[in-house]
Amino acid sequence: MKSQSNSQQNNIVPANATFHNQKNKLLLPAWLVIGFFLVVPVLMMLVYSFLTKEFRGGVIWEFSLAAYDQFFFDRGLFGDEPAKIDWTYIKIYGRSALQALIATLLCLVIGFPTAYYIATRPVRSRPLWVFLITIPYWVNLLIRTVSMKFLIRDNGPLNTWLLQAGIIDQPIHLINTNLAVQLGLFYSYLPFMVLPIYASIERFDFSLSEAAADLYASRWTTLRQIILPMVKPGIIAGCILVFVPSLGAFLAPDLLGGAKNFMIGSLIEEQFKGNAGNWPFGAASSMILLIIVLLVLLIYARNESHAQGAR
Amino acid sequence: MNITDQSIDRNANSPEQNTLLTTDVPVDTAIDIQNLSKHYTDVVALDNISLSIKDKEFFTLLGPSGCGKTTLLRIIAGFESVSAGKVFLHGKSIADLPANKRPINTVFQQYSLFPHMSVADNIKFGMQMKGSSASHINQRCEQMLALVQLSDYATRKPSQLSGGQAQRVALARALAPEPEVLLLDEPLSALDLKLRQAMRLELKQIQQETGITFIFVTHDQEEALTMSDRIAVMSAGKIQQIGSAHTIYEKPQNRFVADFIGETNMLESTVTQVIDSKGSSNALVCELTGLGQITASSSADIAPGTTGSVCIRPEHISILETAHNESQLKGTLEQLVYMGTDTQATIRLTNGASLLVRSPNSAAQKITAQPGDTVGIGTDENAARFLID
Repeated sequence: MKSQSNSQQNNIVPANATFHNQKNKLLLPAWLVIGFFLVVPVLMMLVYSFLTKEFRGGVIWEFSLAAYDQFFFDRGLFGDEPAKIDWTYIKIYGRSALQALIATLLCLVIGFPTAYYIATRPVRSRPLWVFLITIPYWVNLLIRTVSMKFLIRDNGPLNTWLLQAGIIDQPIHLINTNLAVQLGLFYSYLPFMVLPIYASIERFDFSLSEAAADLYASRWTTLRQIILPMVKPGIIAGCILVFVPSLGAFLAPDLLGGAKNFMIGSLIEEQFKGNAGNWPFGAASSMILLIIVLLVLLIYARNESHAQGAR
Repeated sequence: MNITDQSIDRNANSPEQNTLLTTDVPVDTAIDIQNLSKHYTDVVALDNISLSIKDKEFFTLLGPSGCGKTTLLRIIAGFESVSAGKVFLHGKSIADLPANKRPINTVFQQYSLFPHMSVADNIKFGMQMKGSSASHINQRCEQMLALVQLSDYATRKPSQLSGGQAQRVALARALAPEPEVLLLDEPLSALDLKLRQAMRLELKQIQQETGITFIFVTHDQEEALTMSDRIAVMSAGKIQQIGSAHTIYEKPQNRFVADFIGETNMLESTVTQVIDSKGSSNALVCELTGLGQITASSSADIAPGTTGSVCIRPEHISILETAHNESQLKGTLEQLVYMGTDTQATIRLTNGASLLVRSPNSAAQKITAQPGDTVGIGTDENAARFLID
């Protein structure tokens, strides 16, 4: 999924590199690394998705549309019935998008006040708060997700404490639910929401909110009409940075969601695992995910350039 | 009304209480400030300030940076709480009222225009927040744009305006909701000199046309003198003197005011005789240390024997080629600097002090003496002022 976050950053930052020819050389090592490790794997995926599957994993070098056909259409067990649309995989993608969306909203609702709080601290203490936000990243995501699984088990610490405190009568069943996946995604990507929003609120000129108050605006109106429009780029960046990796996330859905809450990440992973896999189908699934992400970014970029033009 | 040292809790926001907290100030008083103090953790920003600003007055708070003038303005606007004292707007206490509930608008030093809104939307914002009708808002917006001569700029964004235009939009935006008092926080300081001078006259004219009370904060004495009906000179959190431009300049009450406004000469002296004592205007005879006697005025009651300084403005001193009589002040002309409209002369007095003289370059008053010459010194009548140190 690294490939997507890279291509997405290229879209967000307007490239005006035309007039520093000399300085462009400074970027050369990064271009080479990204180019090699981004472009080559994506091209490999593209090629594999149009090949024929080898039954014990791998591919046969023979052109085939079977992978894409399998994704969208159902032709019966033996492939000889008339094609009808197969909702199995489309549903997985839809569910993943919904889970990613809910996780993004959770991150936004909790991340925005957090970012606002940090950005309005005295300049000297802000780095400390940013540092605190990044502390969870010192621990590997796998370990954090596994520990979350342990904490929210039916007989895990969370339920034990809630039962002992008398807040609940029966353990809350969290593990292998949608909520667990959403919480897991939220927990994994919250800093990606907080940091860009923090950066844009920090740049916000708070004399503007004073001016709004001076002109009879309440705090809520000031937030809605003055602060939000001006920190919107940070909010959008945060949403993209959470939504895109959440959509293709593998660890949280796999460890916390169980088989019922199968998401894109797990679907793709299965195609490349062991002997039961289907490499062309995994590659095609990846390409479809990539196209969806690129479409989202394209729509965003187009809106942005419209807004710029109107200014 | 005794309100000294009564601290005010701004969080206790009760409208009923506000109407009770009225004061017996005259109805034509727009802002009345009583015993106001503002402390930060270890700094006293405002120290027991009392002043009242009349309705429709162009009132200026003048002082060096850090004197507390901006803090006072921000307290009136509602951006800062008070540590002690009261602020009344047309007789009603506003200390507990948040900024967005005060019928007071501000022109900010950096304009603080909303960058994502057009000029027209900026101007309409305050009226929309007040809930005015759409037709009134549109009409008033056009009226304001015309007032500041920016009718063609309604759809522009603030980033497309020059400094002077942004400044005028800020003024129009603050005037549009028809505030009872308009606060201006060094609004001209970001403009270049030519524009600043033009805007002074424009501001004064707009103030007179709209009839709104202006409270103007500046550190620029020229701005203060040219625009204000009255000026409060502030220093170190205290008001040093309140008066018209003329009074502040010609009759400074203390050394700070005399020194801060314009150029002045300060000569050490002792009062030898009180000729005439009429309360606020006293005539004194002062002995200038090592020089001789001079008659001076003073606004405070002063007993013979008091030591202080005699202050004389450089333009009230004339250089006399020949000594008329024995008692006259004398000195050596040290330097002549031609400055266009006038010539500036430096004279070394017989007691070693240096005296600055400004003489217009008209044919009648042209200085003919040359550096090195011994010259007599004449002062205009009532030009000398005695100030206690």
